[in-house]
Amino acid sequence: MLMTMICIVSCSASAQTPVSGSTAKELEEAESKMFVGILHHNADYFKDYVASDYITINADGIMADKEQTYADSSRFKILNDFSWKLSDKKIRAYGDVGIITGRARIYMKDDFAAEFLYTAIFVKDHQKWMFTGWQGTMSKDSPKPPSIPSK
Amino acid sequence: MKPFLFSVLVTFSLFQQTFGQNKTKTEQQFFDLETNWMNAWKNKDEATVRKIIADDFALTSGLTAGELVYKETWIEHAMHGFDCQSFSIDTIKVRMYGNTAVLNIWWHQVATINGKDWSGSALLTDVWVKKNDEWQVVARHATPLPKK
Repeated sequence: MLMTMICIVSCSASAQTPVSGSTAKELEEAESKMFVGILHHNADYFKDYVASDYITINADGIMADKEQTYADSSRFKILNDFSWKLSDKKIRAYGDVGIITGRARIYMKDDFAAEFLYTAIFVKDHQKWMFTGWQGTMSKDSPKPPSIPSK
Repeated sequence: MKPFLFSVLVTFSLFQQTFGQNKTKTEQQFFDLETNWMNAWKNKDEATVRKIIADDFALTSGLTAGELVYKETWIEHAMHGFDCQSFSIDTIKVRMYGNTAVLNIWWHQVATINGKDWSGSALLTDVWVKKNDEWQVVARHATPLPKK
């Protein structure tokens, strides 16, 4: 999987809520781990890093909790074929809640397949950033993405 | 089963599990905050909107080509481009983490943008943060649902 991570983390997500460099680094690492864990349907990642109250809203309007997400094997089969590029990342933290927004372009081999905007939410629990929420939306100019097959 | 029908069924199923009962006190509190905010949008009450939206607010929406919409731009569009006839918060789920609340909302609106119909349903993730004893919204992500 091609993962282009933006190395330069905004040292201040906003004037009012600066996120420290170390917190931003932790969150970016948590996000990187999340993309690999989720896209590879990694059981250990789901067990250890996905919060029990996790909710996802996917770009196709599917909303699912942790169990439903893990059980959606048809979606993971499709996701496995993609490579990804992330950009335009913005990292913020409010207490133990971290919010990362960004843009993801997905490729099927070398072909640009779709672009979506995402919000990933992490909550720190026992010094560990747990993946707690996700929402994705196709960007305005995205090509039509491949459909997820029915079960 | 067609993918779209499946997605609708899964989504309804989740909401029925979560919202098949009356709102909790916390859900009612944030339902009221969201209603205040959206009423201010509908009524073009800029002063109230300014109080509710944090200075570091950012909107993620498929309306854009990828750029975030920040407070001043949101207010500019809300006050001058949109015309909301009605809206409803059909369901709301709240997760609390100290002074931060993460909301998932099933939203419907009847509205136009620059005269063009912009009615429909959407799923929202909103994040509210308590600052100086006042709740302010810091983030919204909106995903429009396909029209039936």
